[in-house]
Amino acid sequence: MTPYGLVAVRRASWLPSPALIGAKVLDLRKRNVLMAVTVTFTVGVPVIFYGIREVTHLADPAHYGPAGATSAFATVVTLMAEFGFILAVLLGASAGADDLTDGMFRQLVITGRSRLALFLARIPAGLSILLPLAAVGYTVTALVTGFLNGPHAPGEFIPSTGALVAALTEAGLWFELYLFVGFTIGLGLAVLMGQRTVPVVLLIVWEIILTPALADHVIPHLVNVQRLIIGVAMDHLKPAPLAAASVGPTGGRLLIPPMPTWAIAAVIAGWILGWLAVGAWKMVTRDA
Amino acid sequence: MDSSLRTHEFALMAADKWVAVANDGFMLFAVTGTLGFLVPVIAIGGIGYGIARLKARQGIAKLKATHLARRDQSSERTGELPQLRDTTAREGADPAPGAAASARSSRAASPRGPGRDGWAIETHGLTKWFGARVAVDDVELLVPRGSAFGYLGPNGAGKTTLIRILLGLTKADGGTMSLLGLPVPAERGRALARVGAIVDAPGFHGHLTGRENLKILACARGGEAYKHIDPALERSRLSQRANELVSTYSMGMRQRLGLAACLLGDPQLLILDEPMNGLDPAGMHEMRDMIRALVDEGRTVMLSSHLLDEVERTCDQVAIVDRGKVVRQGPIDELIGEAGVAVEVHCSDPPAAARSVGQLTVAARIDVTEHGLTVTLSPGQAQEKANDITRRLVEAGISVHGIQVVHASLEDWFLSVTSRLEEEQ
Repeated sequence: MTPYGLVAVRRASWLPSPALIGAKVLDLRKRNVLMAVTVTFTVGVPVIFYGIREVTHLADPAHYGPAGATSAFATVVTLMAEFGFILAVLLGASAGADDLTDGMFRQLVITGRSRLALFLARIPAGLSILLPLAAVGYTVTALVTGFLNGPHAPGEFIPSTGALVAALTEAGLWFELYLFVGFTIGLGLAVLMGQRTVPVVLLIVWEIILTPALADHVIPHLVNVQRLIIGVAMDHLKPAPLAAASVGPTGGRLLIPPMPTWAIAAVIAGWILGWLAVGAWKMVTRDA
Repeated sequence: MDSSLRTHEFALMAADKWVAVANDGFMLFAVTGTLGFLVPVIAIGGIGYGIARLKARQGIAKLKATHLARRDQSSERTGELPQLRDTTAREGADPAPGAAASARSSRAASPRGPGRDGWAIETHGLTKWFGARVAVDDVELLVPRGSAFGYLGPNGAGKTTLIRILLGLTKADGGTMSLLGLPVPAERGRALARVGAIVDAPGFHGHLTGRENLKILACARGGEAYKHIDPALERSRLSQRANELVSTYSMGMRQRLGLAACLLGDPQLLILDEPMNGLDPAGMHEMRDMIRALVDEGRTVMLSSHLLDEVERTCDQVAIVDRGKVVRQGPIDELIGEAGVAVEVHCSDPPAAARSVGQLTVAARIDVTEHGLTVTLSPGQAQEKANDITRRLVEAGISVHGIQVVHASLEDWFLSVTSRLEEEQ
């Protein structure tokens, strides 16, 4: 086989090459505004939040508790998850639709590279930016919670280091999964619609308005439909440290009755795979 | 006091319960009401949309059937594909004067056939519909290897659509095609490995530099493409500005970057859709030279344009497309020959000269002007016929002050073909 034959076989493959993924990373990484927003909402939010708490605590320990109080942990992570979901949607939508709007997608198709490979390359490219930054932000949160939680009150339950690490790891994985879900939904919807702005607005409305409205009350005979909402499934998967420390009569959880773990996994996998399938189908069949 | 407190507590509890019940009821009402309203609306809307879509499809199918029947009748009448002429193998056209013609005749003998590995581009019965409108209509196109091939047509004639089909940017509704001898879309990846293309205005990421954009495309192409970035930038004269953001580029620079992107894959075939768009005269000249240089290297360039003068100067062969259909194709010299050659005669007594020339059978048309005649000749042997005219006028005692053979330009030919088509409609 000639060198060009080999290249052609590689290009016909639906698997994205590392170089193709790297090219998408380059495209996303060089979007300065997007990167600034990403860093601000992943790393900036916990750093600023805990920074203010620590400064006020150091200035007036009598009135302000330590920065890493357990009660603050759930608040910060919940805040990071909400912001992070929107950010993940934004990044996914950028990864999915920006080359369409720039006219670059046409150039990429003309190279003869498999369209499916062009789509699949966006997933590791986007996640390779989002998840490490989110991990850094979460690590700041975890470290502050672990080391700057101040003197414990007499009689207060103090978990062992192993249990604390396990709980923090579990919460961290849930947080990363939440962003992963947001990214894939944003990616799929943006590719489907061929643009970034409308999908981002729709998903913000979905996350902030519709999900709480549809999931805050049990609707008779429609509970199983409510369980299909991704926010409900993610809420049921929320680790105990995040839920227990939340305010409210239900410990911050939604009121939909719990469902088995396999059902939660199925709902989450359905959302992820469903939106990826929609995005892949549209990218393969789209007129460029 | 206790009783009062109990009553008070009871009232508060009742109110709280009422609020809770009302709240739940309201939510239930809101959700079921919304669903009760939305579900029927969506269902009715969906059914209505489906019916409308079905009717539209039936209408389009009828139109397509009518169109195809009309086309079949036309083919039966003429005994061949309607108005299609492949004159790529013919020889012996008149040499054309002028810069464009001399440029063409000075070029090395262009390959006129499919070559060892088939045609560079070959399409048969290629058809594309947009709703009820046929954008590409049964196109039969043969682009020989190693040539500069012009694809001409008025705006909306279907030039870009054909190119988009060839490159797999959109699907054809019928017909077959091959690029560099490889069937497309079956072997699309292999075929496009040796194809570079500019379609419409080339789009790039504005937030990246020219070099970074090429890096992305090279990563997609794979193989040796990465090594071709610098030579491609050099060749398209963008090396100096390669590290600047594309958002700062002018239209002409974007076109050059598009050309550099084409060259990344060391292409055997370049498909350029309006490559002169946005270029200044110097840029057009450079682009023309570059295209000729690419052809001289043995590559094939298919050039879609409405700039007839540029095509005439650049291309060896052309096809003319109108309303999605290729109506003529072949070497430019031969096609221009169809438009005829004119002889301008400056002489005394133009009416007498007209009568005298009229007795010759060489003239297709004679126009008397203030200072002489314009004689439109039938195609072929223009110089000999001009000599006959001169001889005849001298024999008739008419003073001939000057005589000039004027060959038709590509523009004349294009206008004559398109106006003929309009008359036929």
